[in-house]
Amino acid sequence: MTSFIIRRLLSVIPVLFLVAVFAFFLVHLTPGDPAGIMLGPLATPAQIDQLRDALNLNLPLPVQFERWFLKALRGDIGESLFMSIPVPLAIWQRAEPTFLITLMAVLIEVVIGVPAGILAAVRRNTWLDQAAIALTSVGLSVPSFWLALNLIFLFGVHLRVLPVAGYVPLSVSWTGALRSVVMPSFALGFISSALVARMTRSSMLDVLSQDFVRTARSKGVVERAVIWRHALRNAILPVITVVGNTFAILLGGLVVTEQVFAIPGVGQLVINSVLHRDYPVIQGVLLYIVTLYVFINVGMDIVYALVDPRIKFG
Amino acid sequence: MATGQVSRRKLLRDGGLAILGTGAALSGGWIAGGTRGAGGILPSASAAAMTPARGGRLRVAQIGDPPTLDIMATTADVTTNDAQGIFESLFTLDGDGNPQPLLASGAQWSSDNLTLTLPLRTNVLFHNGAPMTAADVVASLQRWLKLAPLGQSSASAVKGITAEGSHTVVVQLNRPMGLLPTYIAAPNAMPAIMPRAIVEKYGDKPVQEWIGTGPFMFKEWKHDAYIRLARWDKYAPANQPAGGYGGRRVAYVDEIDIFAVPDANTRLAGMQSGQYDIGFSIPADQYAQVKATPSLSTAILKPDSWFIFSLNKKARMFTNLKLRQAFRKAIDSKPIMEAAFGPQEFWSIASPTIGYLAYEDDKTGADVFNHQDIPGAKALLQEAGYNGTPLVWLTTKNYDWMYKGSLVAKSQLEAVGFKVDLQVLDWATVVQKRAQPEIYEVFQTGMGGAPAIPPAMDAFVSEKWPGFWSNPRKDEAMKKFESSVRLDDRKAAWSEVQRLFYDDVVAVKVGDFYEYYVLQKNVQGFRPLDYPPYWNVWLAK
Repeated sequence: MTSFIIRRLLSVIPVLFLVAVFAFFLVHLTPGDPAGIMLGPLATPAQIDQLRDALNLNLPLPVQFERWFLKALRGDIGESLFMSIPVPLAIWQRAEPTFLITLMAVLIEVVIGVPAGILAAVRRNTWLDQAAIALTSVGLSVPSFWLALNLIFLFGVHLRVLPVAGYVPLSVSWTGALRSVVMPSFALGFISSALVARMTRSSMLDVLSQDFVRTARSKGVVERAVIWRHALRNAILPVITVVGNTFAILLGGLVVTEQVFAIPGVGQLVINSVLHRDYPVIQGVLLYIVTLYVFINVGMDIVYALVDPRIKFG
Repeated sequence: MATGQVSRRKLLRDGGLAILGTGAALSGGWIAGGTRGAGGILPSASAAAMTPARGGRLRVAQIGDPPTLDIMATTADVTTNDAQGIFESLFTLDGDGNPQPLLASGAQWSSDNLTLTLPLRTNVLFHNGAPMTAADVVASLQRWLKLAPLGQSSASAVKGITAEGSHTVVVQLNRPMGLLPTYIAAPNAMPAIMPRAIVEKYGDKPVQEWIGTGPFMFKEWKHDAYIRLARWDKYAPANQPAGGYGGRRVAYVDEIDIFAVPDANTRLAGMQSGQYDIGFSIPADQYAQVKATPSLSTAILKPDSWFIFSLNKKARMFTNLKLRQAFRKAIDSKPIMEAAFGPQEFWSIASPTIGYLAYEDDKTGADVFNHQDIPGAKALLQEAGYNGTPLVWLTTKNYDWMYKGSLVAKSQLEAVGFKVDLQVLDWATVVQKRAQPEIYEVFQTGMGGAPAIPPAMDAFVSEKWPGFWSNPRKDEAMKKFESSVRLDDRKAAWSEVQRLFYDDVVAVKVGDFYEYYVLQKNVQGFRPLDYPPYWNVWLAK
């Protein structure tokens, strides 16, 4: 197991290398120019050139790559052109709200999705099943920003029980932090709960029709135990995959949701660094997201093994 | 989008005589007097009548983080908005758009108009507590000549800037340049006076220590969240009557939080819920909702800018004047303005003017402005031998009005026989591509204001600006415009520029559009200028 984990973690190195090369050339070959953005709409070409010089952007691309790569090998992935802080610090500063929202969203997703899916499977073809399917269809069809705006108008403008937008850091007030992430978490969690519910339902239906379930029932195991201990434990693997993936996707930046709720998280960092052509930040964020994916995948593999003893690591 | 570098909103409302002095304080070659009032840019009478209250926190919602807070280093509107309370220049613009001393205590032209002597106020302290001296001013002005567009356009006329003693600065010119004080007064990319040590430390790069002399000092910047300013208690205000950006500046509120709220719906919701006090850039199509909210009021900036389709005259098909004329004849302004700006309260197609206030009544070009003529356009296309090559139009969805306007124009152009390749890009890419004459025909933008400070004010007159207008007669008229000291001469020179603008089909003016600000009703003293100041604003209890 330990050697498996080490091997999986080591396998990230070539991936990171490829992503680094790819990210560097992708962002530098995209049209647009950080100097032009920094100087504003009235800047003359001479001015832009002057600032590009100061920022070392006029060097030939291979030279820029070499400099960047040699530094990156030493763990220095550069400094934001706009914020003048190291890229990891920029990401770290944004991680808190994104992490909180992701955690809450995944919680909401599981708390709504898994029971709804089980209920639909157990009461297959009843009105409960249909109601659960209808609800999840709504969830899958509604864009998160639309749900977000409606939540804002309901809870922020009409009822005035939650702040419309913005984020209060945990260090300032943990209740403030929770209040500012409730709506974005729900907007995301509700929508992905639809996916979880559907996955749980179909996976449960598969399992419930298998022989061992019939055996359990014929042994006289109570229905509750059949469902929760026997069936669910076998049905849950694909659900874990879905939840793990949404976790990775969400942590990588809740681009739209953070925009709508004006939350200074990783998603906002992604979009603003792209719009500003803040090259070091774009590269850094890409590396961060890839690393995150790898770690979450390794984490999921471990969870598989814990949940299902048949899975062994070679 | 967050940095909102869109339209060059105009830098000021010029009252007409852009190079006018401010009366007795400015003697020498300066002419006194301005004819035009400040229009709608003064605080309302009821607001002025109320007694200002001190204290509180002003919460502002704007579209996003500025690219930098170094006001001298960028022309981005958000930077000017956020940083003009921190930094000050030697002059500022009064309600008529004339320069008024701010950190200078006056100005004296020599008889040949080649030397400008600027005595400085002696009681001014930087936010770090150090007194402002002539050495700081010289270093800051020199940086401005190098970095800022208005500074660069002045640089060739400036022979030298020197300190005489601790509180006098002398500017030597090699040709008369009456516009210099106006340039220095313009808020966008202003020659902010900073401590010399900071200027020297950062050089051409944007400074990271935001120490100025203004009524508010920088306190905190959480990127993509907020910028916090606090009252500078040792602020020494100038003592002119308030108007425009000028006059006595008072920091009534204790602190200002400027929030980055990228989504327009969220900004509006935050205004409706009372989370913010001032809302910037709320789209015109949400005006009805704002009006329906009893706790909110609005302030309209009118006129703000004019919508143009800029035509590339340096390469590709629009080097042919006939095709440019055909383009203009294909365009019907009304549906474009409706699509782009919504309710009629926010736009007008009444005037061909390409300059505001003193220049607003110029009707030159009225015979071709907004005269759609479909058969005429078709005939011109045929005459020019148009072969059906698609014209490349660079547009963006980052600014909704640009996209909608270009979309309607596309169908109008297709109706006369043009083929249009509408390329939807992000704004940063448009800005980059529009500088390459060999790849496009048209892009759209907003142009601001009175022609007081060319070429930055009216970018289209510059040969370097995308669109690339080259015409020696235009250059001559602009020279006259810049050097003339009498308003009538300047108006005549500008009228000539406007005539050439229409003759050459430099760009197609679609119409004028306005902007509005949304306020909580308890926000008082707010002035809807291009860059609405936060000083003199108070929160009624």
